[in-house]
Amino acid sequence: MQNKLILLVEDNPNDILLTERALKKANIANKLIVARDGVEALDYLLGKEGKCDPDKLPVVMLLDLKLPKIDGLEVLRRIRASERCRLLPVVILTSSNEEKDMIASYDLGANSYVRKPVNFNEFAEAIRQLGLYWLVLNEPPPVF
Amino acid sequence: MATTKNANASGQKPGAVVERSNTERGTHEPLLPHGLKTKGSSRLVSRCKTVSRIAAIAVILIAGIVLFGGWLLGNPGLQSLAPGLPKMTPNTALGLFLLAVSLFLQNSLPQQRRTGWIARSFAALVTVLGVLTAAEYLFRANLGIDGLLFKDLTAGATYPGRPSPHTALALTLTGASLLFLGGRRWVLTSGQALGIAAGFVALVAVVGYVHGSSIFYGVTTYTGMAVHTALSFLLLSLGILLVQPDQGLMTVITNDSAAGVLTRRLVPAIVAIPLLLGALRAWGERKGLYTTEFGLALHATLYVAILALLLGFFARGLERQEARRRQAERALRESEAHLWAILQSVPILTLVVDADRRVLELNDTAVDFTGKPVTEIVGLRGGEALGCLHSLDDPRGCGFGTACQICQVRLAVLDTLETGKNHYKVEWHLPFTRNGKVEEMTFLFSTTWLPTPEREVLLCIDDITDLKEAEMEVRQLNKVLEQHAAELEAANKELETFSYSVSHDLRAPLRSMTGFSQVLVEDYGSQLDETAKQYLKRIQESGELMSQLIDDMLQLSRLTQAEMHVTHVDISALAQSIVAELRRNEPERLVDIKIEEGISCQGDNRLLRQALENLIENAWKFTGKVLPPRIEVGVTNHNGELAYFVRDNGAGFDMTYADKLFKPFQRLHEAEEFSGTGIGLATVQRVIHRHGGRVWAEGAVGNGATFYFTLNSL
Repeated sequence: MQNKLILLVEDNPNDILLTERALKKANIANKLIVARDGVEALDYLLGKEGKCDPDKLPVVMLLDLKLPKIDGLEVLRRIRASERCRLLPVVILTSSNEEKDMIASYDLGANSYVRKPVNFNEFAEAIRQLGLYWLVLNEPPPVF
Repeated sequence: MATTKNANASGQKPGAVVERSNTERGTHEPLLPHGLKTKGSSRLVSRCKTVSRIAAIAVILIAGIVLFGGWLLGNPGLQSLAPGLPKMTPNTALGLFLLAVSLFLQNSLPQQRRTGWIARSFAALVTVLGVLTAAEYLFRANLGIDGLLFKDLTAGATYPGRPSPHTALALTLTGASLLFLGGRRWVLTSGQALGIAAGFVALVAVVGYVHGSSIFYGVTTYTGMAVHTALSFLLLSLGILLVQPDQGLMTVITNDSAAGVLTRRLVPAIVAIPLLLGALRAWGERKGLYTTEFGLALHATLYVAILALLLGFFARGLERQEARRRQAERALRESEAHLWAILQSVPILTLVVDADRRVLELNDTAVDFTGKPVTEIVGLRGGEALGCLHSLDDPRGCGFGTACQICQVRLAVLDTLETGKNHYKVEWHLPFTRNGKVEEMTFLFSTTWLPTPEREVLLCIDDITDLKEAEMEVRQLNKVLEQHAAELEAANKELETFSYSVSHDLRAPLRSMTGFSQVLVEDYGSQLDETAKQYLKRIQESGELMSQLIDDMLQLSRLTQAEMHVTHVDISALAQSIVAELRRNEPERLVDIKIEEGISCQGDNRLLRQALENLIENAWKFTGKVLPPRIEVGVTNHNGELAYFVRDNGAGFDMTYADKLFKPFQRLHEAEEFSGTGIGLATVQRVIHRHGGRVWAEGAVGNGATFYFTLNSL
């Protein structure tokens, strides 16, 4: 379980810090890979030539919607369109609770939609449950 | 200026006219002014021609029989009808025969050149015969033509075989008449006059026979005109007059007027009655039934009586006809009056113009339009009469200016005059001076060819300027509205983007604030004193309140954007479920809640739930400090309107601030006392407004509050 990767796509350094802390607090020691914008995330997953080392594929991607360069929904669309990553579990982790964002996310094949609570305790709890669920409980797609 | 631009603006190319041709009027031959060619008179004409034909055939037979039976076979009974009476000479019989054939040919086949030629040469031959015979008498000569065919061996005759002087005259006149029976009017008229003269000569002879006076049918020293000769000439004369009964002198008799009718009826009577009466008198005297004096008296009496009777009879017929005519005239006058009234009252400028486009007649609407007296308008050209400013462009007036070249009104009138085609509902613009300033007026006009002998056109003009202006205004308003709608949509879009970034970007720093203050407490709690921990807690609480405010604000802004789905909404059930939720969250509170059964309305279920939630939660919240807390949800009649209400016996409010209740972020209570962001009632108001209703509150401090709302039936 320890070698399973988590990919966090988030541009806000504070949120990155808080997410790391929340994971640590929940005793989740898996390696957290951080992409600070959509381009970085796509580069990591699909590679510059559209390829990616199978060992480096995360078990879950925590994806923010509002990102510099390429936004979260676009990242999701491209991932779902790619051969390798089309089944990758994606959790939308965002501040928005706009109905249209939720609909668009699920439409594009998001596996889950979580709204970041402002209260840190609630936020930490959300991260803990996510980690537990996707790293432990959930069976990843057979490709992995 | 009647410019092309204007014409195009109305969607009509210059010259594009709607045409309604009148198929009944293929040729533009004007109707005869006096209506001579009616059905009745054409029947009369054909009857006359038939009679003429019969007369010709009868004479052919008579002359043929006399010539063949009388002279060729030598039957004296056919030469003269009774012994001692004059004979029909061979020359006479031949002349009559030729004349009758000539008449028959002219009657039956007048169109063919050859038959016409034959007919005329026969007539000429007989005329020559008549003239020569007459010359024989005048110059006491014998040209040897008398016995040309057959020798007459009658003893005692001065010139045996020579036609009598009467007959010679009759032959000449009839021949000449038949020669003249075609061509121009005066020729025809003189032909008919000659025919009448010939008939008169024959009539004299007949009268002589009837009255037994030989001097009338024969000059004693010469042979007289035979009975059948006289009758034949009469028949020929009749035939000649009836060949072309609708022309020349005969129109007096055959026309449709009362004079024609009277003449037709009287002519036979005038000819026949004296003859019959004379014959009767002569017969009676010959038989010795009465003396000459008695005969004369009887003749006069009968003559007066019969003529009086006939006159009465004809007068009555004429009177009836006259009455019918008067009735028809009255009906015509009435219908004319109706039409005139209609023409006057229609709000359409109606003008009759002649071939020079000058106004002959116009209705009141047109007169009003010009603002001038009728006498000044009549005779002017259309544009000048109405006051079109283009009629001043050229000294020659309307129709000569440059703009007049494309004036559709002028072109349509000219086209109708020329081709008879009607133009229907053509739009055109012309400049006029109205209220002291130049104004472009829009006309919708039609031109109609009038079935009068003169070339006239009816021009109907509908002034649609106001209509056009109104249309333009509506179009302008629409444009403004569209612009507003577009601006509004843009503003909405902007607002949407704004609230989106608010929801996303404002929350992130808040999370950092609350998050890191929490981290501080967790990681460095041991190094902080109580006051520091208290401050950190305040930071966290403020952050959360801010987050709540953001959420409420977004919710409020979304209320205006969300689409309405109007359905049947069970308000009672909604209230029940909201109360149940509240009780579940705070089971320790015991509130007496009364919800009226069966309240429902038409509206958006989701929005109404939000409004009710806010109202009931408020009531729940503000009854927190009273005992026993009571909440009531119901509906009441408020000035004839259904007003739904939520009533509580809680903290209430000061009515002075009632108008501030529904403004966002306005709070009447200390946050310490009752929690809340001050957005709830603003939300309620927005929901109710979106349903077309009103919301208001009644209350007093410490005495509870009642919130009412109405919903427009959607």
